[in-house]
Amino acid sequence: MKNKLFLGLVAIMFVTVLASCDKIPQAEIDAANAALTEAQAAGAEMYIPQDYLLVKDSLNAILAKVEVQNSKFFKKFGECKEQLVGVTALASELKGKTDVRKEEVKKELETALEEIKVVMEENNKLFAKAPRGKEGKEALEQIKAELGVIETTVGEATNMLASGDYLPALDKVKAAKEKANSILEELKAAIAKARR
Amino acid sequence: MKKKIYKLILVYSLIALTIFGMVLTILIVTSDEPPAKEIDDARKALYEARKSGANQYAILQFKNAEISYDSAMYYLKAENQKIFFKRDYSSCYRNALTSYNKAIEAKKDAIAVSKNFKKYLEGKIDSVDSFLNHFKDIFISLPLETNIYKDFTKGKMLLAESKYAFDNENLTSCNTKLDLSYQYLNRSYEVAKLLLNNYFTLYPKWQSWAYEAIDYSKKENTNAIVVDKFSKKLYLYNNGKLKYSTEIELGKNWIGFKVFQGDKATPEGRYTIIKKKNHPQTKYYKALLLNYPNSEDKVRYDKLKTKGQIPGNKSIGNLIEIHGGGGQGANWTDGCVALSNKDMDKLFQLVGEETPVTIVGSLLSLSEIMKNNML
Repeated sequence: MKNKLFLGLVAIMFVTVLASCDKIPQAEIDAANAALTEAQAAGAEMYIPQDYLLVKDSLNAILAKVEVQNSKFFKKFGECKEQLVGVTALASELKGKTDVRKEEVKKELETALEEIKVVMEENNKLFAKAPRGKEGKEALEQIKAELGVIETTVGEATNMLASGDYLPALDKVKAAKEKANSILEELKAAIAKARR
Repeated sequence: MKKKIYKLILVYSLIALTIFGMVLTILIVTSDEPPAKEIDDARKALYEARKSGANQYAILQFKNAEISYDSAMYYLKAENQKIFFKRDYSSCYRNALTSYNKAIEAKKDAIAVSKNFKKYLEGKIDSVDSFLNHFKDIFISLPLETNIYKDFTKGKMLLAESKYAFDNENLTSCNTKLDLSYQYLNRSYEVAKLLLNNYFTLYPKWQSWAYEAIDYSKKENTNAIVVDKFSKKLYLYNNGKLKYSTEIELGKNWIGFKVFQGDKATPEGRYTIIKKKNHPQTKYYKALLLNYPNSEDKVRYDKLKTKGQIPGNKSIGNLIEIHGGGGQGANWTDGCVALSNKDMDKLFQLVGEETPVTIVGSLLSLSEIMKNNML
């Protein structure tokens, strides 16, 4: 009887010590950090900034919670582990979302580039047809300079497309397209005027 | 005896365990607690600050808030490494509190700054826009080099890009593009301004020529034509009063005096209509031939010729007319003044040979023209 009591006391002490020794979920923390870094590298911060910020904040909240748990005598990381798995999934989802958004912007950029190329081809055709008389020479010289600037901008945007810099390239192409369209109208008007 | 020893061991063990338990409980109860709430508050405040754009508009406060938060987490981890009864979270607490306060401050500042920044950018866009619009019409008609037009176009396109960046809330990018746009526009503007400043040194002369022409029409109760090259206008005065005015087109290099044949410049000076031409005497519908070159033109030509500033064997040129065929929307003549056929009909009817024609650079001073063109 006394032996059993002694063994019981030792067991209580052993369980107490064991209970206070739950380990920090380092593997889960590393996995969550890696997933978020991957999403960031994919461009989440630029393409879906609000979502990125939310996931980053969730991870920060869990990391703080882990440290608070770590300060306790009886550490329990079970809930933190679950949350870390959840945030890792969110971060992976974030990467997927970023890729989708990036693809959308890329397509928009490609379409805009295609459109501007069509407008520029049309511009070049009309430029060749534009009245070459001395009446139009001065205006044509200016248009030629403007077309040159647009071509340069399109070239820059194409390079940006190749390097994955889609968002800033899109603004560039939109502005160039606006200018190319105005030149198209100008050339059409000049040709129509010459025909009259 | 053996039983007694066991009993004693058990009793001492129990006493030791109780004491250990009591000490442990006291240590646990009295040990320092981590500032979980403060850390959580700081993190939330940082999130809100970042959402408000503090990382862009209140960079310093936001960075300080982030550093304090990281420090709080560092101290929390460091204290957790120590044995529980030796832990002191006061540094962690202080940093968490500082982080919270700075993040709140950063958010407040970011909201104010972004609001002001947006307003500032709106104003800046308007400013560059109006600079461009006021300057555009003058600029386009100036005989400038292709590179200057390229700068001008680049500036216009950057302005359009900055507007897209503004719409997408990329305010920093918008600001950068606006600055670049202004640099390009201003560079071309400065070249144009230099050209105009040099040209307008002749303004007092133009003013007196125009005044004399109008005065002459009044005194002699006759017609007098005044051509304003800069505003591309022709004015017909009768008895000192404006009777008729119309739009005109000039030679490509319309700024400055005509010096030699083929320079595509429209002369400046006091001339007279020496012949009225009907079709087919002219290929430009109807024409009023002027007595270019006059004596001043000849003196200027000879002077430049002596200095070797007349290329090749270029002559002084002739056949400067006010003729039809205009309305092309460009300066295209070889130096003549072109009117639309409709306007030519009217002028042709109103004037005769011997009518004085005064061609001036501008009737307005450069400051009057540029009054609203400065940023």
